[in-house]
Amino acid sequence: MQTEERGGEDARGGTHQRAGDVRLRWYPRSWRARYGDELTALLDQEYGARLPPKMRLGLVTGGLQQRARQSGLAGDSVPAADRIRAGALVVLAAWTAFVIAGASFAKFSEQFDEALPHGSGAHRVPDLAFTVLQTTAGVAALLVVAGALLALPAFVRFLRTGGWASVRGHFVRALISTALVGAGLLALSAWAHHLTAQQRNSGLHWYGVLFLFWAVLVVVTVTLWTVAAVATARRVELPGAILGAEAALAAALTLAMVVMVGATAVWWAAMAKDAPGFLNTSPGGAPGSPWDLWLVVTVVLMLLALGAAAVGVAREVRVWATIRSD
Amino acid sequence: MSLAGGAKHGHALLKDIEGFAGVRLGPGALYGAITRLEERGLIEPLESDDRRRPYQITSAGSQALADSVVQMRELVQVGQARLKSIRTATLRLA
Repeated sequence: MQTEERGGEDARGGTHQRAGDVRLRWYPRSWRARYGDELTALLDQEYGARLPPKMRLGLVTGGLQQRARQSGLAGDSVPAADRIRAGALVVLAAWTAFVIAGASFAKFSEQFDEALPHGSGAHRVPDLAFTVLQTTAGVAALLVVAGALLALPAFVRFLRTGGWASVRGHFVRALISTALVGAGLLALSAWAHHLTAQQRNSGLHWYGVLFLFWAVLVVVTVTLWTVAAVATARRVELPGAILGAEAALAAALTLAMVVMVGATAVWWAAMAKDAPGFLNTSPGGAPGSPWDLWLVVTVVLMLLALGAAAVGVAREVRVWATIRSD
Repeated sequence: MSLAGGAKHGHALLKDIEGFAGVRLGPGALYGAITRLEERGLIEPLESDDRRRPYQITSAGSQALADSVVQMRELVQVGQARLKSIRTATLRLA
């Protein structure tokens, strides 16, 4: 914004290279290198220093569309292999969000069995749903590992041909964040050793705050690793057969997410029926209501992740269909 | 369609499109279209001394435009024929 205001000094037809850089920041670098100068000239000529909000929004959406096109998520300007890869990587990113939601659910549902009435058969449905959820999560994790192993030879080739320099920054950031998570875990564990169970479970304010901060750091770390994985996967040359296998694994992962969302819904309904009190125990719970805020946010995150994964799979399927029809 | 009337840079394109279509495109939308058309080889940039790069339609672009015009003409003909039949039916009822 600052450079844009400065650019207003020669509002009509002057040199707005720096201002243009600011206004076009949503566009990919390579696109700016090709079209940035002329679009900046057009903006200068049409609007001078005062770009209307509608046009500003148009540049944001235009920039994001170009990024989607270049990554292969939209349009057909990149090769089919890149479009399929983009779909699979969306699924991987969605899986990260799903894992975060899953961790939140795991924390929420701790010791749910104890809240259910004994000897009435009330355990059967929630236990089964929870087992399905856990088993599917394990299978999904194996699918992700299988995807990583399949890409490993191509990744090694990528490193041998000097690719490390292009992704080093991503990995360094992820490693630093991981080290901070490790240090935070050690500190929390040491502190928790001197606390009672009641103090650990929201009894001690500062412990809760530090735990929350650490949890956010875990989320950031998982996200940074995913960003590193996506940045690397976009640069690695995958043979056609491997790419096909990765696409199939992404579709299977999405299916696993569907099962897990279903199992979570069944568990929630069963707990609401037989142990409604358990759903009010979190800080976001309201007495007498099964709509615990923590659980609602967790499931919404699961659904958003599932939706994103479905978009990725749909992209893969559409590209495969185009290839087959050609 | 605008470039079928001669090579133009971004500003001239916006004015021309507004003139014949009554639509005021935003710069983001215009350059989205320019990017797609250039990628498909339907338009091409010309050399320019200043930052305002003009574009011209290619022969592939002319062919694509001709095909689109034929399609649009067929649509117009169908629309006109159906409107005519509505008018005839209305007159008969009256």
